[in-house]
Amino acid sequence: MNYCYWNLGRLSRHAGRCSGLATLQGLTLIGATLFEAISHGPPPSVSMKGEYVRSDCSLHGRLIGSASLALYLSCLILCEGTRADTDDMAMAFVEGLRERGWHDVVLEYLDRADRDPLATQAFLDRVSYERAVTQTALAGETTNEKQRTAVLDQAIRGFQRYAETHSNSALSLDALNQIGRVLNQRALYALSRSDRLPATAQGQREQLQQQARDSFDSARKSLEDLIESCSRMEASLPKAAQAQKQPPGHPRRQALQAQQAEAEFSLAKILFESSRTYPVDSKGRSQALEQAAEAFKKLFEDYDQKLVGFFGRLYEGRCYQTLDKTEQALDCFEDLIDQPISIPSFRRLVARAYRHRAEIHLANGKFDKSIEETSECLRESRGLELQQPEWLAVAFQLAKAYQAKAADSSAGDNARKLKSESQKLLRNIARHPGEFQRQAKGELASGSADGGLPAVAKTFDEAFAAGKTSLERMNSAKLAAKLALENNPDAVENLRQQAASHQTASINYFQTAVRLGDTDDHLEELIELRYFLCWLYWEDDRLHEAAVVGEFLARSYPDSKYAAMAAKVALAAFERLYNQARSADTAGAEFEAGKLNDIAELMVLRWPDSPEGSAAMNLLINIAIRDDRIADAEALLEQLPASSRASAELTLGSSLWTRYLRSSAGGGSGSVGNKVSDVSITTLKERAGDLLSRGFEATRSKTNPSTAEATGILYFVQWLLAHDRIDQAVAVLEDEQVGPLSLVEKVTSAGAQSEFAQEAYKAALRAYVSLEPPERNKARAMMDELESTLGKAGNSQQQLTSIYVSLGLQLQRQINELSAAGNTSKARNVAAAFGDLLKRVTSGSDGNDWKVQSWIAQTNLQLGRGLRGEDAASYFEQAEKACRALLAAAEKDPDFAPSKTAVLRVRKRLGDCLLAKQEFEAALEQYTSILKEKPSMLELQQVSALVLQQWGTESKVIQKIELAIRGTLPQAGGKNLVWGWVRLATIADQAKRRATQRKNSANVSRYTDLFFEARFNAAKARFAASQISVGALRQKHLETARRSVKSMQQLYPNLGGPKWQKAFAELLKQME
Amino acid sequence: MKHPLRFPSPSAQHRLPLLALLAISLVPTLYSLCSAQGLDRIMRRNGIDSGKITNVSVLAVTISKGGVENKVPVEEIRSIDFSGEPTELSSIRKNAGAGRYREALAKLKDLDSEKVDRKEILQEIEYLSVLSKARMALAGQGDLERAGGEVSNFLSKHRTSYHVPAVIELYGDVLSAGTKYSEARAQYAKLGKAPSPFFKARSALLTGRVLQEEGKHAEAVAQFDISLQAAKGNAAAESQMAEALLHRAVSQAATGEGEQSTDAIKQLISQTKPEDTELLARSYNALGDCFLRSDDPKSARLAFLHVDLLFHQAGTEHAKALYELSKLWKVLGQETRSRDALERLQREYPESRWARK
Repeated sequence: MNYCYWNLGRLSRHAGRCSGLATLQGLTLIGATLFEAISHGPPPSVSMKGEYVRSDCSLHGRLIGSASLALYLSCLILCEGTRADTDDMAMAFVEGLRERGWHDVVLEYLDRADRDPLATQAFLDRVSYERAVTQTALAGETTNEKQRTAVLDQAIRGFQRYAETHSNSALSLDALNQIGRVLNQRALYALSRSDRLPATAQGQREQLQQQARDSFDSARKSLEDLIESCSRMEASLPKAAQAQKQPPGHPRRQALQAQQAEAEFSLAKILFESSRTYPVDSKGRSQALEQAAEAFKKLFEDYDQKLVGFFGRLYEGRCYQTLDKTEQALDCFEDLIDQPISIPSFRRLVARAYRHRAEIHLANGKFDKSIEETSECLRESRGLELQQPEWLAVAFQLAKAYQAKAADSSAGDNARKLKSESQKLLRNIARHPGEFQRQAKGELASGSADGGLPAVAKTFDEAFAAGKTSLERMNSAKLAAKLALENNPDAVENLRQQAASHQTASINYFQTAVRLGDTDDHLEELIELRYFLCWLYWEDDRLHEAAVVGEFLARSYPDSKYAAMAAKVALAAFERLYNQARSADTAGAEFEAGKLNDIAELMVLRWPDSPEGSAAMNLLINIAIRDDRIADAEALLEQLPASSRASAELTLGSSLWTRYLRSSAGGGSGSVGNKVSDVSITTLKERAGDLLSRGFEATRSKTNPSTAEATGILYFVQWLLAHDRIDQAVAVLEDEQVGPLSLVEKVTSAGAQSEFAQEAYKAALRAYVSLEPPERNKARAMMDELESTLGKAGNSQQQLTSIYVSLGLQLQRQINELSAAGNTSKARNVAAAFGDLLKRVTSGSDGNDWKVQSWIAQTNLQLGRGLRGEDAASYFEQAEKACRALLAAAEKDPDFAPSKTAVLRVRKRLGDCLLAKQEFEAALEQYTSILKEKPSMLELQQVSALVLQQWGTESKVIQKIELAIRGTLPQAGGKNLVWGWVRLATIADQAKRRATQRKNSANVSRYTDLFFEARFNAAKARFAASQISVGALRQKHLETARRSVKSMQQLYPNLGGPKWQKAFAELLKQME
Repeated sequence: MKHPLRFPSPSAQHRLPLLALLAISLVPTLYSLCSAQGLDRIMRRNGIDSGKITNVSVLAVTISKGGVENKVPVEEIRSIDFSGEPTELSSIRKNAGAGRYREALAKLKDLDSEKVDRKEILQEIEYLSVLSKARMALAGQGDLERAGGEVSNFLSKHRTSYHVPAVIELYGDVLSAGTKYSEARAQYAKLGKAPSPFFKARSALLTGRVLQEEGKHAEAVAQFDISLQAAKGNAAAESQMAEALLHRAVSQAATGEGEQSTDAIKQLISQTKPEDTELLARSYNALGDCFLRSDDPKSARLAFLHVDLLFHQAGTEHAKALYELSKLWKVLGQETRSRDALERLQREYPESRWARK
């Protein structure tokens, strides 16, 4: 706000010269807003939407009116500096877009401005600055905090880059100013959050205060740079003597001085605000306030008789007031009140001085003095000043003074009158936006039960007004109750009762108004009050009434601004009624279902593109799906205009896909009586893909898809992955506009949700490792993101492990399929990527979990088996390591293993690892150690024989092969611990017969297979023995082997099926 | 680029150099002098001829001064102030020239033409009325059919007026807006029969525009080439070359040479003065069309937004831009902005063909 620097006497003279500069207003006000934002006293309040919205909303508007000199000076600077001249149509285009609030389009335009033939070089030079300005504006309209912070960070970086690369341009000063503004607001926001914390949240409060301090420090640094730049630029201007030849002085020099003054003020103000980052009564707080007071005092002295100097004086007073140095504070404020200046900006400053003096008087119990001074201020107000925030603040102090005086024993009979005066003032304050509006409403709510309202309204106007007043009081009481939860818990119940009482009164008054109203005279009011009634009924849980009134409004007055909202209330009411009826009696919900359908259809037809229309459509589709009416859901979709289907297509597609997943997993649709019946699982899957694909294509052009749409797109990725369309899945994931990864990166409304981010990273991880060749770097990056998203809290590590394991199982299947298909190269690639995943699991803190370690061992073993040579060795190594770790842990702590069988399984797996590594002796040792405990375990007998057979074959030791056939390790009863193939075949045959007798077909099949396997291996072992023998022995083994096969063929012509027929035939062929 | 038969826009006047501005500042003095002496004044492209108009034909106006007769070709004439015309006529002419047709019509309504007996002045009054109504109708702010009737009526009644070529073009424009393309082409063809490079170039240019409208882009390109060829070397005709080049680029884009056309239009835009809002509006609309053809909705949207935000004074072009924006916003997922564009189109240009599409 450059004007604050200027000599007040010159203001009016220059103001007239500033007309026609509208296009530059935005830029000038950026600077101005900083000043005004930080120069206004009360703590900031945070709106639903903006991050740092002041409670005083009208400030900005007033600033525009009073900043004319600032405009003039800035224009002068810019005309001489880098600001584009008036012929810069590109800048005019950007301004036009900004006026409409289309900041998203501005960003797009700036990205491609070099392709606009109208863009001048001067404009192109400032594109990065304009981008940062736009991001700042965009952040102000962003409701999501994380997203807003991210956008503002980008803006700050943009301004910093611009200031660095254009250090001699006048615009760089604005860039530095902007950085200061944003960081200052960020600090204030952190302080505001800290103020709202309950007393118990001390740790969090300190954290926020520290954040605020850091932001204040950064803001200060930026402003110091700004001051230094101003000085440097001023020094580079022609000498003062030369400048004097251009009366009334060199405007560029004046503008620089004005900016410097503004920055100096801002610095002092930051000191003042930063005092709030220290605890009350702390040394840090006092020091900051003392420093701030000094800085403001210097401003007052340096800029004597200039507005910035007077602002300095006001804030010097505020510092003393906060430090409880009341006399010094009163002196400062008095200096302002005594000034005979009457321009509007200064009058506002004076009103603020009155307000702060009144605060001090009140605190000191000087009620009469407070009443006297504030009354004088209000009496001398002009025009509409009484509605302006500064005068409303004075009025609030007067109201408080009246209340205090009324409560004072000296008031006597006058107390009633004083209270009445106070109420009158509070009512006026409550009507206007401002710092004290909420407080005034709260005071009114707690001070009035039914005050001022008629017992029975006799006219429409009376009933309507009373209804609205009751409604306002209800809202105020609710708000007061909410605030009292923290400050005055004892009052909560009373306030809630008041709210309920006002709610009843409001309904009664509105009902009376409906009765007395005439559509010819009161149509607008009747519509409005019916909407209120509908909403009040909903609040009162009078669902039928809410539904009826809401539907009436929606159907009878569809063009009214209340119609869509009323329809939404009706929809919600019917839905609740439907659910209630349904839970009581499924058949009895028909009426409610019909009504729900009617109102939803009305909304879809009437407001197809509105949030209400979409909500209705989604509800209809969801109900249809829930009721297993897929065809109805599809028909509903068709009712939408083609251009509006994208969202619904994604919703329906998502529903069908999740339904398919549940159905294919055998879980039905999740609730009794809701199983898929009309549509086959395959159709469900294909239709889901079709809808998701169409929905995705139609949504691609959107810049910020809704959460539901983004979720649909993520489902589409999953659908593609399930169909092995990996490339396409990656393309969708990475789609610049709507790809789930882009949405997470851009921190859109959907992307900001951690569940969405997790699912996106999971899908991306799976896609990257499944690509051919796998994108291992990207996969690793996804793992990093996933880990960072899940954080370290609670069961996040468990979640992470579970994600990796489930993904690992999918990849394992993929590797097995590839290996089985002989595609070893691709299998190797996938295995390598999978290896990364395994390492993550192993290194996670959950890596010591029994199940996880066991899975790691098994997975590594299987991976190794799917590969050859060195590729396989490392996996076997890791598998062995995991098994040994488990066994060691189980030995150390027997409770670590879930059961004894689990330990045996690990020992068996350790044997498998050793066998895979061809460490036959060690493998056999593992197997036999288990056999000692469970000698009849057929599976172990099989592998033990196999170890011996392979051992003998590989080491060319016939004795080992003999042991494989005949068995070994005789035990106490003379029976071998390891049976060998011959005995195994006999046992299998006996077991088969028993199973046949018991008609256990599964076991019959199992033992039949085992029998032929054992006989086959016996013959094969014999043949192997012949291969390593010489002479007669060789012939003998060969003959025995041949006979064995032939006799099997004769005895069992079927040979247990094609598998063994083929195996025996091939073996025989080898022998011959 | 302005057709010389149309009135210059105020923005065109702004382009005049300082000396020209000084010359204009002397006009009231000269005008007073001329009126006092009962002289007619022809405002030419380059200067003013004062004297007594002795003959008016479809192709030229003859003015006599000191016994010397000078024949001024129609394409050289910007406007004529007739001796004895009502004083209000001058401001009506200025309003119509600046595109403020509604104001021009309001003033015409108040004009007392009973006292006027000179044929040329009566023709002038009727011309200004027909022109204003037709232009408003073309911009979607009036009844097109009715306007067409009045234009046709003017041509039947005033066969020798020097406004005839301009009214023929206007008639063609009205027919074209009513999608009567072949009839429009027939009107424009009439202009080509005039023995003047200017009208030959103009005729081909206008014919090309209709063909373009019909989607016959190859034929349109051929016509634009004829126009460019005919205009070469003729100062008056060369003034419309930019327009011909622009439309040629649009049709070229439609025949598949998108990138080349886009570059040509961009070059044209960079050479056009900011005051020439009509040509800039057309150019950005043409650029938008090119982007649409190359399936680049975002760039197209930016091009049409230029017209909406910067060159909205060009009514017909603005209506087209709003129409295209209403579609593009929807495609880009911005339903509210789409509705806003459509509502503005229907509110500001209710009768335009774009609003009726």
